[in-house]
Amino acid sequence: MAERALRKLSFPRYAEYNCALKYITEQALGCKYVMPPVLTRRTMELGAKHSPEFVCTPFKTVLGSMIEALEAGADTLLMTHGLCRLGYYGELSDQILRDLGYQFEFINLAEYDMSRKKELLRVIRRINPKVNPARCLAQFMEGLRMVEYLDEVTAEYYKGRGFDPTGGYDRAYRDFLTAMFTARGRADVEQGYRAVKSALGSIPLDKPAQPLRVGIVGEFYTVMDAFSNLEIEQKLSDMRLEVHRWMNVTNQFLHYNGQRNMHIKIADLCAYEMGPTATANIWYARECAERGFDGLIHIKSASCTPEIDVMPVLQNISTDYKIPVLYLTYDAQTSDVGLQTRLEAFYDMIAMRKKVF
Amino acid sequence: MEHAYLGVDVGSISTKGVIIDRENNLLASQYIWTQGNPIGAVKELLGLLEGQFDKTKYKIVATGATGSARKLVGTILGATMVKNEITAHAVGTTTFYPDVRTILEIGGQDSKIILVENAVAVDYAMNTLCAAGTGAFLSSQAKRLGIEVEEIGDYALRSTHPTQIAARCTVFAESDLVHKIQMGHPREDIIAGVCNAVAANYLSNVGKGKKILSPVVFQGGVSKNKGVVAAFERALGCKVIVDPNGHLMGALGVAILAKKGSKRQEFDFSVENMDFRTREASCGQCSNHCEIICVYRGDELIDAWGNRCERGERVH
Amino acid sequence: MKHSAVTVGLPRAMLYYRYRILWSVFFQELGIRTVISGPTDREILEQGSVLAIDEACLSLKIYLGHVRALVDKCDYILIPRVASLGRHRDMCTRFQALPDLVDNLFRNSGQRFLSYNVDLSAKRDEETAFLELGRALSAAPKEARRAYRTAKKAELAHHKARVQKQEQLCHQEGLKILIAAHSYLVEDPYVGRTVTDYLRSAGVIPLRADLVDRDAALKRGMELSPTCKWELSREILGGILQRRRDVDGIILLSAFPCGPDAMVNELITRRVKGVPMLNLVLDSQTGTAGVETRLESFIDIIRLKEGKL
Repeated sequence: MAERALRKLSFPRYAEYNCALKYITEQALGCKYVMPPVLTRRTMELGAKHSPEFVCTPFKTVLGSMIEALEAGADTLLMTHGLCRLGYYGELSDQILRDLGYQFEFINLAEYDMSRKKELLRVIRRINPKVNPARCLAQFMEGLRMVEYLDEVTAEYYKGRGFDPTGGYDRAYRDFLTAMFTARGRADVEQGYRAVKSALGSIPLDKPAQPLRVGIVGEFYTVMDAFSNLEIEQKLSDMRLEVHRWMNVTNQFLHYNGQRNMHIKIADLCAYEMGPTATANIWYARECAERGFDGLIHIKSASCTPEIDVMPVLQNISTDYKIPVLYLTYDAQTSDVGLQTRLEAFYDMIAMRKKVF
Repeated sequence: MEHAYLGVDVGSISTKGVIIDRENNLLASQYIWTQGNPIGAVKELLGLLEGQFDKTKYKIVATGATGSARKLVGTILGATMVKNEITAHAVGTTTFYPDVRTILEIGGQDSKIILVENAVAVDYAMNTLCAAGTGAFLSSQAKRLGIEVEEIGDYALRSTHPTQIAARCTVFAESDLVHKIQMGHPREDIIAGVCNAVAANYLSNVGKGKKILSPVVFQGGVSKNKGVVAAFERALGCKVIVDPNGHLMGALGVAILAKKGSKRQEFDFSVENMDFRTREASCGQCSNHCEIICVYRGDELIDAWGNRCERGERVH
Repeated sequence: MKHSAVTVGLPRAMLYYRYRILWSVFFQELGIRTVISGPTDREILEQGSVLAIDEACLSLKIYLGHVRALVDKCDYILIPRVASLGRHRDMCTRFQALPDLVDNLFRNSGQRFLSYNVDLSAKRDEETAFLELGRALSAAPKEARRAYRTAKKAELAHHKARVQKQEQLCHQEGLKILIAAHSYLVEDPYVGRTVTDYLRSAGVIPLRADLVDRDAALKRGMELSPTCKWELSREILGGILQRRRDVDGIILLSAFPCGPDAMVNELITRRVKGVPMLNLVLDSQTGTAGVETRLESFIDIIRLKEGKL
């Protein structure tokens, strides 16, 4: 009997994490991963065209990326659950794609209670009934390690690249991403990680004694996805700023130092958890202010409810610590030119402040 | 020969230019409409500035460009300083009003607020998503009501019962305005209502969460509108200063920045007679299809920009 | 009954429309005086718009205006936190943020606020929350439990009576239109009520999707959208399924830009077929004229279709 062809699974583009999703899909779940094309204006236009107007922007991006994944040959789409509107992305995008006439299997984690191990196993069995649980778990952990490496390297990259006169940072980071996107085993992952660490470490940085430092906080998707935030971290580091961002998958999900413990430090600012990423964002904004950062940037997509509700708290932090906050809202039409003007002005302002105060 | 400094501010609606001396005194100044042709406007502007300027006494040693067309204009002028308009406005204003705490600015399509402490900008914000409540909005409403933009102020000040107009969004505002006209509200009340709405919209969008302290300086094209000035004074409960040269602050600021900068490049007005051309190329290297702007002097490509990635470098 | 000197302010907005009986009876039972902000008017909306982040929804702007109106008028203002009522029974995250949001906006006002926290995802049910609320007001736990249970009974009875009234309306002769909307929108006298008023004046019987048996609606809601995670949306989804055969048209009424509605209403228009539907989004800026025109043409379309114009 001919073996059933491998399932062709895809998950929409999300920052650079698709390398880990590919790894987990292929190594842990024994399926073929269909890499959705890099996000472009076409992705956004496709997504926006078929989305309800007032939905948050990541929905539009994600929908566009799903369409491109299907065009690239995926037969199964996976969508996550989530604590905000993200938890409803799956069902609505499924319906929209069906109405457009696409045929595929949709695995929507919102249908499962992912806090239960049994349910998780059900999902895995549905994706591939022949999976060997022990091997799956080991490879899954390997995929998570890739996420950790990715986040660690990305943070180091944006902190330093503004002060690298050689271009070596860019080359090393690009090579690292290529290595992660093509990794087929633990050795490849470790090798790529060691290579980028030693490359970054060996580049002498031309950094002033007191560089300008900005902290970035904001909504989970837009704050991390370079296409969605119009490459804000590139733009800021091009201006020779040290760019710091706590929010990433590692910190928020893998190493989260306990919602409760983080909350203690900001109990004077808010009594409860205000939204899925509110506690972390408020905590980190205050942390940056206390460490004497020169400015904060708050990033969110248009109409992101939880992040709109965090803004009054950030305004109070700004007043208390006299730290300027630049609030940026991204929608499908946000222009590169407008963003550049705002960032240049923000840079000039914090640079002049630093000279005077 | 004494040193002088040229500052040019090319916005979507108007083009402004100044020449200043070492003490920031105005040697020449001009304000014209951009009319969708920044290159033509700059050339015309330079001709007018040249006429006011004593070439036997001064020479221009540094040039600054600002405004939304700063990059294009900076290339054409061979500017020694290219700065965004927010910084230019802050620098210009704090030079002339060292005590200023708040700068309100409403231009053709952008509005912004700059908070100042000890003559240094410490916080700023800009309109987020749409152009409602800016100059472009005011002129389209004036046209709808059949009056000139310049008359808005006088009409508004005659009103005793300003109409409530919704101005958060241009589309909503237009339909509301039409409705109010049809309901029979007097024209001056509607105009005063539009002015109030512009001020209220500005304060609740751009000025949200910002502590507006006096002295307040109001700038940008809309500051010429007495109706909006009065609306701001009512809403803020303090005097709002409008400098007669307020419209020139961006150009002044960038001239001062050019003076402070280290680069020097003599400027001799010869660009007035040169032929500049821009060409738009579409990069086909990926599906972003970046629109790349190439600037030519005669047949020579002098600059290009607009690509999002290095792939586009090869196109032009 | 002994009367305490404490006064609690209730903003007449958002969850007030869902919990007003629960709140008023609870405080009454504890001998605590309540003050309620006046009906929404332009002043309240404007005050709220000044306070709210511009991109926030109309309902939050109205809410903050009501809070503002109560400042200095009472010892405490009640700002509840209702986050989750169970699995797939969340509230919009805004209801989760509300107490801290208000606290941060009003931190220089000197006003004191009172909150209670219902969050089943953290195993905190409504009764526990109300016992805590009682404790904050120095009521004995036994007293507070009795007050809560009395109040809950009154709330359920009140809701049941309202549902029964809807049943009667359902069987009346005439053109019937179902309004699918959050109670705080459709019942607000300054925004949603203009819609029901207009429908009545046009000889239409307005019915409400959210005034149905809640448990049954929650279950039926899952048929229409199995992963819908919002309690209030699920009730409305269930209400639509329950009433769609009894009505001539459905109005999806939403406040601009309501997060859950932006998605759920899209799903409804894609899945509920065969009944005329109007999507109406209310903004602080929408003039009544525009709304009336759209309602009028919607009614005309239904009447034309049924040959009753």
